[in-house]
Amino acid sequence: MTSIVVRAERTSLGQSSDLLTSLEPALSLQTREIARRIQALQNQPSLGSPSADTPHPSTEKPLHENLFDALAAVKVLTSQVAMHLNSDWRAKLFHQLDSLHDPAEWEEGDLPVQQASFATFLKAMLTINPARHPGLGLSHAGNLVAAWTTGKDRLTIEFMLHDRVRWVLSLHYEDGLVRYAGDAPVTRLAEGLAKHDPEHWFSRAPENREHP
Amino acid sequence: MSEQPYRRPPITEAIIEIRYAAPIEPVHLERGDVDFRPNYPFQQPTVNYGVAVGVSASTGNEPVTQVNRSDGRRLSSMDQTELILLWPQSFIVAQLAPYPGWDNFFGRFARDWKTWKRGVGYRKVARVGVRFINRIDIPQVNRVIEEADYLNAYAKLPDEFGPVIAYGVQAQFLPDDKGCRLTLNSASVPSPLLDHGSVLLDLDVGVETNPPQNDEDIYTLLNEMRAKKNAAFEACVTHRARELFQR
Amino acid sequence: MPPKIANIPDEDHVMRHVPWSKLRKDENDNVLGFLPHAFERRPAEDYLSVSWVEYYTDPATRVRDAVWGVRQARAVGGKSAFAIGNVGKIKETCLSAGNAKVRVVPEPKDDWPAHAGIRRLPRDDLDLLEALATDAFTEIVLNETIAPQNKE
Repeated sequence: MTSIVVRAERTSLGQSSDLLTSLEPALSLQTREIARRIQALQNQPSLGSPSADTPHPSTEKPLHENLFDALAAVKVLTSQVAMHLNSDWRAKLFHQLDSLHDPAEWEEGDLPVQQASFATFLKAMLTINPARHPGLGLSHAGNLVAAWTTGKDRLTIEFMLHDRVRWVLSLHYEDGLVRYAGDAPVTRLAEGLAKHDPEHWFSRAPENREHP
Repeated sequence: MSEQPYRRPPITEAIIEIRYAAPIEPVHLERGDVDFRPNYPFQQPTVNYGVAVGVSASTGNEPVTQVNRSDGRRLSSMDQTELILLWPQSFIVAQLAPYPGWDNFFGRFARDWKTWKRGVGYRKVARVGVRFINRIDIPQVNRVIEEADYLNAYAKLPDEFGPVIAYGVQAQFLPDDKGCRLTLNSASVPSPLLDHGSVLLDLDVGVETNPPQNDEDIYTLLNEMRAKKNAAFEACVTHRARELFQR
Repeated sequence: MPPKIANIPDEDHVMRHVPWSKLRKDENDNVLGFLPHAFERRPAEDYLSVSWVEYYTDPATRVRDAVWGVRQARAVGGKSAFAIGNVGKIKETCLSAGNAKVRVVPEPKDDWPAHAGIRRLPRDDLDLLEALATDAFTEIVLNETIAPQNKE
């Protein structure tokens, strides 16, 4: 039975053709013809999606165009996992993203949402799958920031490049305020939050629910 | 049949393409911005480059480069899921996930095709095609996914080789009695979900020999292609995969 | 104009402009407070830019005057807000949460005479920034609640 080992590195269908190219001087005419026909079978890349790279803000483009490009890129990224998302939340998420990138509210010098950060955010949200969704913000560097607030208690998570997250919790107890902070791969986020009663943040319980 | 059998269809992209025998004049592509603006408020130019390098004795074995540039327009809806691509040689209607169902997608195509034809008039059609790209997200167990549990089209390799890191499968089949040719591409891809592996299943059905030239025949053919694509998809996935699409 | 001083007194207050993207909100975009990132210094900045509230001498109007002062110096989005914190509390918070001995000093500009800076603030300490957001900058003034300044 064929099994696939799941690895983090990207692979490309083109790798085999690169290998053939380098070997070509050693191959027979017949083998080269077979390779050419295989190459011809490859479909053209999908034309429905733009490049997956975050467009670098151009100083030549007006602000609203740069913001639009960044928004378009993350909306296309969202479509890649839309089959796993609740449609109501998807609409709300887009509204929040539009609001964060309103040119009238834009802070000069800030970067718009970075695709790599947004990809980390989507991975986290699809894993945590909270019933209560976060408020959103943006760091100066364009990292998406998600915030849950339960009474006076606060959970803030910043989604960074390379599938990393950092978070901080503020919890109010009778004897005072306690803060916890973490910095980890997104694969460890759920584990990192597990010891702090995730339901306190992610459930739709009343806002004045006390932390145990 | 228009019902959507799955709660979460794994479709990431659906495309209907009409390809022309001769290029459309640039003025029509530019006018597309105006004609389609009500439904596709976001528009941007897009460019396709084809590069060919040749070496021959007639050029003294010096490489000769030919660059073919094609300018088009990419039009999109507010949420970036509904797209039109206008190229000199093709008219493409695309739908990104979430897939709204064939009735909705085909209805949009028919509406936009009418709008397009009002501007360009009759042009000889060289190819009619439907393409559905699916991504099947499979929960991993100890960082391994057993592809045969979910797919019937994959690279079958000797067990002695052990698990694969990556693979790609391409196959093209003989046209059926309606001239529809199925092209299948499948490959393992990085998954956007944690603790999952993913496999792309890309099914393209096209007619290039004597494609229909009038709208009604094109519509009929597209519906037949969709049925063929559906049959191919169902043949490629297992019952366990279907369970994933219902979660 | 008050005499030039090296440090703003601990009993005084400073105000930080917080744009919409750095406000803490719920899932429906209702404003709840400040994200820690509202107090994050940019890499190229030597200090965190704030406004000295007591630069404006009338206690009854100094918050409004401080907002007007910011508006004259920079773009202020309609949905933004201002965070006000006591200087002594800011210094105490930085020391306890981040082991950082910050200085809060006037940094007057031609178009912003009340401009000040929090110097030696660590840039990347999320725990410290959260502490500033919850413990130090405890007052929020929404920009929309401050009327435009009448031009004379």
